Amino acid sequence: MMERLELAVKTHDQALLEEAFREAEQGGLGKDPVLKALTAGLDAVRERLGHHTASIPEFLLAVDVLKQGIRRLDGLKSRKNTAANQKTIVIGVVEGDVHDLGKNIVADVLAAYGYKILDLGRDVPCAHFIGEAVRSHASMLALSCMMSTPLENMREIIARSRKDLPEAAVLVGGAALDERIAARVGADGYAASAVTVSEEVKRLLAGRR
Amino acid sequence: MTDNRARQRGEEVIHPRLPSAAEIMPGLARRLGYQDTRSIPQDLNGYIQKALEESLEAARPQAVCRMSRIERIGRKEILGTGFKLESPKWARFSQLLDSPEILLVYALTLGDDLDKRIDALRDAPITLSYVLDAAGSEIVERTADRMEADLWERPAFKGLQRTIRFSPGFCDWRLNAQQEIFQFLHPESIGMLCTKAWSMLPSKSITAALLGARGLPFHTPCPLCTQKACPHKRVE
Repeated sequence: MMERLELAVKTHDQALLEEAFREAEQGGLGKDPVLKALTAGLDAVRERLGHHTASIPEFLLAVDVLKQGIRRLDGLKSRKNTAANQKTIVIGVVEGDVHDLGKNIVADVLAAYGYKILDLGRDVPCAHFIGEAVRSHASMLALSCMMSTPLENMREIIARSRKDLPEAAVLVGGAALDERIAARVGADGYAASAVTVSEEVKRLLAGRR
Repeated sequence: MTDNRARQRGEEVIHPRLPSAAEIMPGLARRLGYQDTRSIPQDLNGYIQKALEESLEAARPQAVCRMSRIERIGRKEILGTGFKLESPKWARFSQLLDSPEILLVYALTLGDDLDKRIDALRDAPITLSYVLDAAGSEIVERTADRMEADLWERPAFKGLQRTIRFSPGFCDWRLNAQQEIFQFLHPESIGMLCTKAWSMLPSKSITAALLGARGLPFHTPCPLCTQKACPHKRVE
């Protein structure tokens, strides 16, 4: 049953996912092992992508199937309150930039990995970013920027977050950045792509509340 | 009235032809990470073709173009009638050309229907948004290729060879040169806008310039450039 769930994500097979879920429900399987099997499927595709034997569309199709699986999780029993254990990531494209597809993909990938995502959209002013991060007790701010001109706005959000939400980690990504620029704007981490983002988030959030 | 003023300034609104799906597919395959169209897995091929057709249906290409006669080439800029292109690399390159005569400047957009379609998919499968977006990017580039080729058939360009197009933000042409292009072309007339950060709306839009000369040793300044790790380097 677990193998079938993993295979459904790996082969982005929605019909197989539905079948495997029905079996999981009948078999009284809990949320946690199911989520583990689903993410194992995505990890497998991510690994293939790293070895150039899968493409980005295949990875995204697997993300879409995993998301479909997460929506079905509510029907299963859970030993612990998963929602209460979820860490919140506030994500958005900084003010001055309207390119949001990369951010949308990252938001979906992180949601697929079980994080609670608060997506603020694009062209997000500093005050709004910080206000929402404080209000939601965010563990992380994830800032995207595809152009070099709004980098100053990204730097401002990071500086403000250090004062108003010092315990939160800051992750940045987008075409305007690389590791060096990420460090220069004051971020804790840099996500090179939607494929590597889950590893980077895991690293940054290790040990944080 | 507005149209008359635009015509007097030398701006021309054109409706470029869209390339066919077959012409776009090879570039789209590369954008999606495949070596060629044959490398696309069979179960994905239909999905990608369908998304491409949807993108083509949503695309409404329009362009404003305007010619500027080259008056002087300095060390850091090319000065045309009503338009200055500040790029030391392109200025140096221009000095090597045989009789550089004109700059063709244009703004091209696919319109905002495709952006709206992608926005509407925010809560739908992310793969479709990704493929539609990649298809839009490829369509606008290939439409620009076709438009340039069509324009170059006109008598005004007879005997002139053209460089490749270049755009603000590429090579050493500053991104904020968008402002000068917008002042020169007024592409607001075809629904194009430039944000404070110099990005364009609708998102599938291109602003570009190309040079026309009697003779070209090569088509870009890249062979003259010593920068090794340039992501925009074109090999001739």
